[in-house]
Amino acid sequence: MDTLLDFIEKVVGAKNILRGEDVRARPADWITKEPCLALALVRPANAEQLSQVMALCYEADQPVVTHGGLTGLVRGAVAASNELVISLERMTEIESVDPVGGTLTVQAGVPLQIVQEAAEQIGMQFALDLGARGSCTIGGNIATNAGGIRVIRYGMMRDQVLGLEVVLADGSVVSSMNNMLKNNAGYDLKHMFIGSEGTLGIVTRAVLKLQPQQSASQTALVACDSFESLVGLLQHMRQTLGGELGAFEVMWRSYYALLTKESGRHNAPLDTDAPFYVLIEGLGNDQAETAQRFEQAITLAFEKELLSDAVVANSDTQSDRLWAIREDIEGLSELIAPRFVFDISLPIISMDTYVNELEASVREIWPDAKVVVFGHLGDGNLHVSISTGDSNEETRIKIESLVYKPLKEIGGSISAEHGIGLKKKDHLSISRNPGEIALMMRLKEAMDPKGLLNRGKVLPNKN
Amino acid sequence: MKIIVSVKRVIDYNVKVRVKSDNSDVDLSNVKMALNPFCEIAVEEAIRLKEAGIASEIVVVSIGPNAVQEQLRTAMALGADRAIHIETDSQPEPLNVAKLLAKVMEVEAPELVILGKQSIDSDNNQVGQMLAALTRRPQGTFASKVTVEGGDVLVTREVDGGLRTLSLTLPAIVTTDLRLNEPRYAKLPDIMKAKRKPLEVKTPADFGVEFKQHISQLKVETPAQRQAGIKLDSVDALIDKLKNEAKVI
Amino acid sequence: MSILLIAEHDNSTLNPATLSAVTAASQLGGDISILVAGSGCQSVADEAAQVMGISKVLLADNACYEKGLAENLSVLIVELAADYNHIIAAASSTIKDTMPRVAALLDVGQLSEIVAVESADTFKRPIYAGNAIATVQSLDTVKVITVRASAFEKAKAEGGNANTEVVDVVFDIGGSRFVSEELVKSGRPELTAASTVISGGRGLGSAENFSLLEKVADKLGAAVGASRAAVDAGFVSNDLQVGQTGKIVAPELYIAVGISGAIQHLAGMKESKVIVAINKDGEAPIFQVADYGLVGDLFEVLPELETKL
Ligand SMILES: Cc1cc2nc3c(=O)[nH]c(=O)nc-3n(C[C@H](O)[C@H](O)[C@H](O)COP(=O)(O)OP(=O)(O)OC[C@H]3O[C@@H](n4cnc5c(N)ncnc54)[C@H](O)[C@@H]3O)c2cc1C
Ligand SMILES: Cc1cc2nc3c(=O)[nH]c(=O)nc-3n(C[C@H](O)[C@H](O)[C@H](O)COP(=O)(O)OP(=O)(O)OC[C@H]3O[C@@H](n4cnc5c(N)ncnc54)[C@H](O)[C@@H]3O)c2cc1C
Repeated sequence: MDTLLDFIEKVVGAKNILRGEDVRARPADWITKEPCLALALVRPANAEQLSQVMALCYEADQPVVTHGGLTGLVRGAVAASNELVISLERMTEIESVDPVGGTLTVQAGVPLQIVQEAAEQIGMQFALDLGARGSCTIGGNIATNAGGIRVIRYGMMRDQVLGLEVVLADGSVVSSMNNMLKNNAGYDLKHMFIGSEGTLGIVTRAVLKLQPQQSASQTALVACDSFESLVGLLQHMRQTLGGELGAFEVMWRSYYALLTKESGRHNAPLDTDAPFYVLIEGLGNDQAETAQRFEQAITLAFEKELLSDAVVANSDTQSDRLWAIREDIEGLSELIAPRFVFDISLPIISMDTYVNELEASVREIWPDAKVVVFGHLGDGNLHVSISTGDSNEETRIKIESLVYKPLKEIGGSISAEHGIGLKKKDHLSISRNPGEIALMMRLKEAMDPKGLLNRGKVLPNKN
Repeated sequence: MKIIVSVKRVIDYNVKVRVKSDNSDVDLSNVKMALNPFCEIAVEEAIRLKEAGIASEIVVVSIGPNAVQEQLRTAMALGADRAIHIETDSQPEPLNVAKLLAKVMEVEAPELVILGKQSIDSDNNQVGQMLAALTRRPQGTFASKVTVEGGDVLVTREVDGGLRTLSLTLPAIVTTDLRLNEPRYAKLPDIMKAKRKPLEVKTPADFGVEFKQHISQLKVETPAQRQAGIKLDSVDALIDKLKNEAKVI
Repeated sequence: MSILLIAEHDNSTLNPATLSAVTAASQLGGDISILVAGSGCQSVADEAAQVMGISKVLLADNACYEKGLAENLSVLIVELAADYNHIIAAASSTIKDTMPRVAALLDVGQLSEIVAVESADTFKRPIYAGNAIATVQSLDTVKVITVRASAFEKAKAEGGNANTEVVDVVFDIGGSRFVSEELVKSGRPELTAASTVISGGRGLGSAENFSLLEKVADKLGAAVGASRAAVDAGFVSNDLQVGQTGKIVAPELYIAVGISGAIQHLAGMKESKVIVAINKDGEAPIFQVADYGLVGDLFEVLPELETKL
């Protein structure tokens, strides 16, 4: 074993291979903060070094786990003690900026927020955004095909990537650094890697698509009296704001009241007695016009009784405070620990019934359980947290079945945007049919025959 | 009791300003504007005094171009009763603002005037004190707590090293510090109602005030950028740098 | 040319910020008189007389000036102003309270918190929270100026030999009355108000090890902060967390010990004037924002710092 690490050390240099305590001192998971158990952690400087490292691992049948910002929520970056971690923490360069074509070329370890700021520097924007922006990396975003709070306007990570460079399991480097908006020459290989959670290759560079900046934004928090009016409000905002609707984030009362009045973590801008709260953002270019259009749209919705109350932020500071309620995932984890977290997709029209029935079925077993719901309504995506007071295996299995079973019937997905990782692999068959899973496994077999990349994750074990 | 709150329209606190390339000023074209945060706190404090049954009327005043009416409407949506817009296209200096406000005080005869301690654009921290001097009224600046007791107002002030409480005879001038309160949000129904609240437009001439220039701004520059850091090889070298180069210990 | 400088003090000792104002005043050119207004403040006047560059001390010792009430103090200054071209002082809370009253009573503008003297009437001052620096010129005959003390070196506190003149005019204006005072006890300063902050991260390893950091903090008169990882690990309580979801600090000196420098941590401290990083991993991102970096084991560096400071 040591000889492999020695060879790797020659490639990356002594200070870029960490062992023992230095590895243990790092967390492996954002939620549990458990220590990383890997036998070593390697941090290559570029694709060339990584390619040599992977060639060595391939020869030695050494399995590896890739680490980006470690904010993934499905235990995809957890490594066993016989695995080697490849960390992209040194690959953080923004290599080139093309303001005319509207693209950025970056190394995959660069944090999302740095990319967003680099885009702003040239008067554009990188449209993916999510609460973990300061930690999560472009590589991790690609690997998980991250969604976030702007999907309703700009789509998921898949829609922001033009080209990729990937190091495969055997160390070969595939460069598909396309920077054209249109390119139908053969298979579009990048899509194979986007959302593959590091099981098919390690993303090392990417060409990202930028969007025109929308420098003017307006934020409101509104309360809705019923699910019908909530859906009506979504349609109304889509119609009146069109492409200017930047976010439509719903908090069920269970979430909003918990993070405000019940815990005191945030002031409650609106009373906590409505069943639904929505954080709505309007985007535009002209400050005055955007403000006016947004206010008009909200006022009209009020007159149509699609919302029962609303506050409009009158500064970015107030807007940040409203967002802080929605993004306080830290607070949520503290307040209802331990919790089981789900990230599900389902048709919007089924949501209300689904949540009510889920709550009822959970309470039947655990009368005091907390079921806390929020999500990206416009994308048909809900985040459900359930806390029964314990976190043992048996409870987990019961809860998972309560959450997932009804999904199959209504054609929902067990993973909207977080991926499968280790956490959900047993349930893959709820959302994918046997034909789909078989093809996925053939793909994995072809790309990573030795099963070195993120072994045992996403797909069922080969038997 | 009648309260006057003066408010200023400024660049939104979160916006990073850019200096114009000709160094004449900062570039404010199409940037987000908002109520000056300290003024927002002043409005909030007045509303709380009204909710507590102490104040009976809140009048907001702003001096500036037409666009300041947006901030006056915001203040009325938050709870102010009426507004006075003193229209001018120039950016009046603090002393000129104080002179205008002194005239407004003559007309309105408020018991309390609340202002932000400074505006986050020019960072002068002067108007409230100047107004108090011109009107020969007592002042409680940098307030973190305001309590009205009979004919007096108790003001707890944030001073270097702690807090100091003064008792002022009304009418008095108070300027707000950050910790005084956390301003509320404007509710939609109130935003709609605010559109119908009275807003009076005046000019400096109506108050017999002529602006005088005391200070001229010659140039605006971007501050010196942080220098690239250096790595040191010993604790001694570090202490030496901190003492003799950075002069921070 | 003559300059009236207002001393900042607590009736027993001269506040060192005054020395910075003396330096700014001496760059204007002209004789500097220093006004010590207070109650029972002879010792301050004695101290002021020693300061290099002072030609005269004016002592106004009366109960009505004890608490530095702006109403009284401003009228006293205006009374003396006739003899001077410049009225200047360090921008302490008392001065920020008082000087604009002086300017208004003299019907002149005020130049707040200057950071550089260009000439006797032209100065630099930060605007937009320091995101821009304006060069401004006073058009008034009397110039009323407050000085940002951190921007000027301190004048020598000793070596001068000024005469003291007693000013016995008493202005007890009324309307404003001192009620009470609550001064922060000495000891470790509050995180967001401290001029030096030393923060520890996961690298500290345990709650007990934080005492290594605290000892250095006490030597520096610094507040203690922490990264979120240190808070999560239970080393310190969460009110010490610096960062996006913790406190935002901008001290003169920020020392990050065993902190890697995640963006969320930087969001809470990157506006600090001088940043020092102590980390055993030379590749840690904290070094990218540090003015001074020390690659080393904190368990050796901290004790050494403590003894050598
Ligand atoms: C507070 C918070 C809010 C979040 N909000 C959202 C949200 O709104 N929407 C959403 O979709 N997700 C959200 N997430 C989860 C989201 O999946 C991650 O934040 C992010 O996309 C993962 O990036 P990372 O760099 O942290 O990846 P990591 O956690 O390091 O890795 C995630 C997976 O990708 C693999 N991987 C990482 N880098 C590479 C690479 N270069 N090549 C190949 N494989 C790689 C890893 O092996 C692992 O399997 C949130 C997480 C947090 C903590
Ligand atoms: C939504 C969100 C919000 C967040 N908000 C905050 C926030 O407000 N504040 C915050 O701090 N973080 C915040 N974080 C967490 C942040 O991303 C980092 O995880 C955290 O700052 C890391 O803390 P650290 O630097 O102490 O730990 P690590 O990143 O683990 O770094 C420890 C460092 O100590 C060094 N070290 C170890 N031993 C020694 C030794 N003996 N001598 C010298 N050096 C040593 C190591 O080399 C390493 O660089 C947030 C994260 C998210 C997702």
